[in-house]
Amino acid sequence: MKKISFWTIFLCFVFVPIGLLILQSFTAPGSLTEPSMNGWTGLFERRRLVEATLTSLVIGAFVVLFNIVIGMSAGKALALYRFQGKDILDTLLLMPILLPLLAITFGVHIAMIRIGLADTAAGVILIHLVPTVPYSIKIFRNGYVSLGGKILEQAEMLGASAGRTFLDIELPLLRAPIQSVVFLTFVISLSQYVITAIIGGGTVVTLAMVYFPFLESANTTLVAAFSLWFALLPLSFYLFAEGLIRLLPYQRRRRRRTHDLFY
Amino acid sequence: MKSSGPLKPWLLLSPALLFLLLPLYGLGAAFWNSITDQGALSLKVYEELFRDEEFLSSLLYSVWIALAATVLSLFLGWFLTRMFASLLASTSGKLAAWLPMIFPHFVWAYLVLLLFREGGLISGLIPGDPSLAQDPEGIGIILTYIGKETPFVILMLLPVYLTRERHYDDLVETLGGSLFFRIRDAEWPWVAPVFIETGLIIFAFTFSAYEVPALVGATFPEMVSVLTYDWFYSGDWGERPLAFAAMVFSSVVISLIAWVAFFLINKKRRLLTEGL
Amino acid sequence: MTSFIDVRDAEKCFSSSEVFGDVSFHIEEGEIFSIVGPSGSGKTTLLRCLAGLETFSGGSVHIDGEPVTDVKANARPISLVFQQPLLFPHMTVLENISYGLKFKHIKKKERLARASVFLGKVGMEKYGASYPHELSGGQRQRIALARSLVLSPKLLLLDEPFSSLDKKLREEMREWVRTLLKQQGITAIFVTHDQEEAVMMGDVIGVFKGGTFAQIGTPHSVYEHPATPDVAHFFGDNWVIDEDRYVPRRHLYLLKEKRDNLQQWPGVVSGKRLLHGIAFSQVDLDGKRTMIYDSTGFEEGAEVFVTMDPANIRTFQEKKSIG
Repeated sequence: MKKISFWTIFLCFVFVPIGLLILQSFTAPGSLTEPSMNGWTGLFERRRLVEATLTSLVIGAFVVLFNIVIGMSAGKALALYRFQGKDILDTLLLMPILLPLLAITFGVHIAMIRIGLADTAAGVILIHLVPTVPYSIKIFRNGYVSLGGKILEQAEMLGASAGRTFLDIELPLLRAPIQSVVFLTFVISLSQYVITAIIGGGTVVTLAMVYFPFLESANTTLVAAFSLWFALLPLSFYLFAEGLIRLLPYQRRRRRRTHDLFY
Repeated sequence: MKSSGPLKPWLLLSPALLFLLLPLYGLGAAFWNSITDQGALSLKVYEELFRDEEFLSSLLYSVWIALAATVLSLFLGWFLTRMFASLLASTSGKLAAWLPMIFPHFVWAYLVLLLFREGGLISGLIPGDPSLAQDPEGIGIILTYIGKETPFVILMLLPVYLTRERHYDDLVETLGGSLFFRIRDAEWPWVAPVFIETGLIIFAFTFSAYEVPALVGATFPEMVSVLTYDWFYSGDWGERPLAFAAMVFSSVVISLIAWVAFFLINKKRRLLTEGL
Repeated sequence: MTSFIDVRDAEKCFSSSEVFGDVSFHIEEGEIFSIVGPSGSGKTTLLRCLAGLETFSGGSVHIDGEPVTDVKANARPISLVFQQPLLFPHMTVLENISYGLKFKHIKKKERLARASVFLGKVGMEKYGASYPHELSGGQRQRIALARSLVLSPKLLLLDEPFSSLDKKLREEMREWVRTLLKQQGITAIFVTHDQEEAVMMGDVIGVFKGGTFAQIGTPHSVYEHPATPDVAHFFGDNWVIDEDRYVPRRHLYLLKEKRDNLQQWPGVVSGKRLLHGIAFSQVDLDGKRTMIYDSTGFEEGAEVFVTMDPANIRTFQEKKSIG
């Protein structure tokens, strides 16, 4: 009974809307019955879109990388150490997702013009850190809390250096939070329109920059295909990142996951 | 928890501290630009801002929309998590909850547009064919946010429900408590910190985000973010100080609410950790 | 002549408060040193400092003549077995045991061979390919021990390693671990809050109280000749008369009426116990409850006098360390 109602709710509010998008992307504009491949072929005929996809991938990859570095180190410090000023830091680290992104971006824009980061991909990568890093720190902090400091001390006692401990113990055991961060960060980076427009100044063209003006077009088939493209990209990036993670030590077997999903 | 070596945690925190410079500088610069007028300190911009009726009405409008979207998605998400915690923990349940997370907000907004605008797939079925997107009441915006934020609430609350001590339920029940008391005494104290924090994040986001209202909002009234963006990019740059002031004031509104909420959370947290 | 392990004037302070201080002891090669003390006495911190996970605020530690105070934890010839087994969940049992050998620059084949030997020594040959979550609590602790022993540390530290096991298993493990350590000729420090466990495991016992050793000696000497009232109380089998004097409890007996020529205290029988077939009375004495051998068979509630032969009254030794 519970199962039926759960899947009914899911069907109505998630699957049907997404299913409609999929259906529309394969049918003629405005009709849901007349098959047409124009949406997908039309999409990839546009050079601008292919370029924007690459730009988004590169920017997203750097944003993810920075997030893992900042998130893991800060999450570890917050989870395993006691120090003065922790409460204030906690609040400060939540601030970037609480205060208006537009206010921060307006302010940062001035400085970026001065130091030459405005209108560059590097500037866009930096501004994309603002809405992502606080989440990553939170996720890694919870990851390190459930890992516990003792197991890292145990590795140290067996003679492992800090680097070896990181590779052999932290990376494999923090796999679930790493997966969450890779996925979430990439999706958030891909979703930024307004801050990319301000800092990128129209020179850095990400997918969102192409999508927005696209919506004015009445060709619903094309827009539907484009919308789905937004979901396919993080999925393929995620699979790519998974492949990379597997190259690291002690990753060959799937362990039983902890039940924390979002950490 | 280690307490020796006071340098080590700060070393680990240095990348995060470096990162913090970015938003702190941004806010500082925005604030500075809002209180200077041709190089001199002045509150002229704020006087002008608060005389601007367009701004005042869009401020109220934003508060209303953000509040409605936040409260509705919070309670919907909480209800679904309570009901289906065990199902959501399974692999297929997890995927179901994650699925809407893949799509950017503006894609979800487009879906709402497709389904609810005049002649849309759903609104066309309703007698009178009302336009529920790009409508002055902001229903389209609220619908979009509910669709995107409810899964977020579920993903935030789920760990709480999966790691929660079930004994407290039994305890309240054996003491003769009804469902109301079970929720109030055995669930809420554990849920509250995450619930309030999640609510705060959603409120702050929906209050100041640009993308969704720009797509499914009406031309009038506008949400503060859209209005500010227009000011910022209005031809002669003359309205830029106003844009800065509007954003600084929005930050103040959110900070005040956040301050009250965190005061509540910290009080609760302390009780929970000390009481066990 | 210096000993194998030599700790002198060690101390540890956190900000302004002292966790322990004035700690000196030495251990001969192959000896097991039990440190016993109530929880919160600072014994775990002492162990963490010895391991190198925390730094001493002062004092020196020499192992086999070499100073180690400035050596980092991962380079000290010391291994620590924690309260929890802390096996790496993503590695097999054999990978767990051989993990530390990686850092001694030993070839993989040789590592696995040595790990297998120790797997046999802890009696778990069949479990090499298993994962930690498939093992029981006692098995996990055995693997944790093997993982430390395979490194042949000059000093093995054990921090209440049996405290997470149930009573029966704990008793089995004590005997088994002591035999294994002796077989391997391992020098070890064993920390516990249980005096019975300390006596069983240690060749030498140190009673740790209030951040320092109240007494160090063989189990027999500490038991029979406590140095201070604290030690006498902690071991529980002594009746402390005052600051200077005590009587082993086995020399106490009960009288129905007061006698003139003996020191005696009035008390009330509050319960009866049978231990190994011998009758004891539980007597409330000076507000404290103590068990006394009862040959007469007093009823519960009876008013009695507790006394002893003056020849059995002993004086506390000065605090001193043996060596």
